[in-house]
Amino acid sequence: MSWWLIVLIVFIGFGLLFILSHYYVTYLIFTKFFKRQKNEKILRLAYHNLNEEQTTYLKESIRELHSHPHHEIKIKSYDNKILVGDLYKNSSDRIIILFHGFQADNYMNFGVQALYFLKHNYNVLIIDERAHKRSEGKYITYGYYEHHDVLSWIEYASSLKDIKEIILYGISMGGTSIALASEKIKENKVKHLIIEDAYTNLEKLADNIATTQHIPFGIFKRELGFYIKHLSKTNWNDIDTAKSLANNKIHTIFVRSEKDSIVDISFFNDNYNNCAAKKDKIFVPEAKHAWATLYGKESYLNELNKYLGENN
Amino acid sequence: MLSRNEILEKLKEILVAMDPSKEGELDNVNESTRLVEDLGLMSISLLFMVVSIEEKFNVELGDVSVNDFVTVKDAIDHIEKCLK
Repeated sequence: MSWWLIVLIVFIGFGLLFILSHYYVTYLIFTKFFKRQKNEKILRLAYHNLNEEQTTYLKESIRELHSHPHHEIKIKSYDNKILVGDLYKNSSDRIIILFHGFQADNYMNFGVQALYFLKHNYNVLIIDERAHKRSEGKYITYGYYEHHDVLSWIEYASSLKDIKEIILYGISMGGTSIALASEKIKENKVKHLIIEDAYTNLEKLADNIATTQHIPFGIFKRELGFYIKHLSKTNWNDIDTAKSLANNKIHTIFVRSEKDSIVDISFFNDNYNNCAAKKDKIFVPEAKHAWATLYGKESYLNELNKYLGENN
Repeated sequence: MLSRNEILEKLKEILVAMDPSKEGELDNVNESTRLVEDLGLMSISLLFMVVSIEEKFNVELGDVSVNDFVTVKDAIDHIEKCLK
């Protein structure tokens, strides 16, 4: 065998090895960020660096909420997945449905708010997003399949006896799911949307996070797009709230955690500016991503509740 | 340092506080009891239990995952580790 043939074979071998390992590394990234986690977190207080006062506030709310009777609700998604939530009932004719964020726990995101709204005479439905905890689903799609689930939960809530008013509240991915669903909501019982720390576009979000974390997103983007398309059956651009909010007709409150380092302020501005419906905004000073309530506490929730009351 | 039996007894106290109507059933809880399948703990109950453990044992569990608490034995192991 001539020397140049050996060089060529070695060269091709290394090339193939490089391509395969690149796809493998990208697959690992995909499984971390787009697939249901095998060992989901129950408690992530340490991760989020909450201070002692905030931790106590959250824990006490969870403790008190636990003492309220509730029952597990199961519905079927449009693609036949079982979705699970907990319903806290009172005698009111209004219900708030709470949609948590990516790889979050519903009660960690919403323990305080759920208790607050229950005490302020709302029925509360707190759900597990698809591919999280009790809900079925293999892939997390950052709002794409989840926005169809928002519509399924609305259908369930509107079927409850005596319910005249439905409010949707989503944090981060939950907020983006509501924004994506907004143009498709036909049920006129839905009166308000609350969107906290939501991104507008998945590709921009990934780009943003990668830039702040000094990760070269560009070298993985195309292959990641391949897995997103062929495994989770979506595309980067399926998640974009600009068009849906432009067609939204439901009063929307946009909430911004001032020190959110994950979802850039430009996402908040774009969401707010694109929204064609009647809208309000609340800024929560010092708050980190998804923690507006633990920073703003009662005064933030009172402001939110005031907007809900004023816009009926 | 608490023994495993002492930790188990304190865990039972937490479980009774969570649902006093199950006090009788909880006498039979042992290390092989499964939290979700046998005791029906899920979602807020599981979170409540974790929060109560932190308080009762004066420990900080930090990040806790579903697989850390499959059985009572797992919970005891986790608490023992935090107490060391």
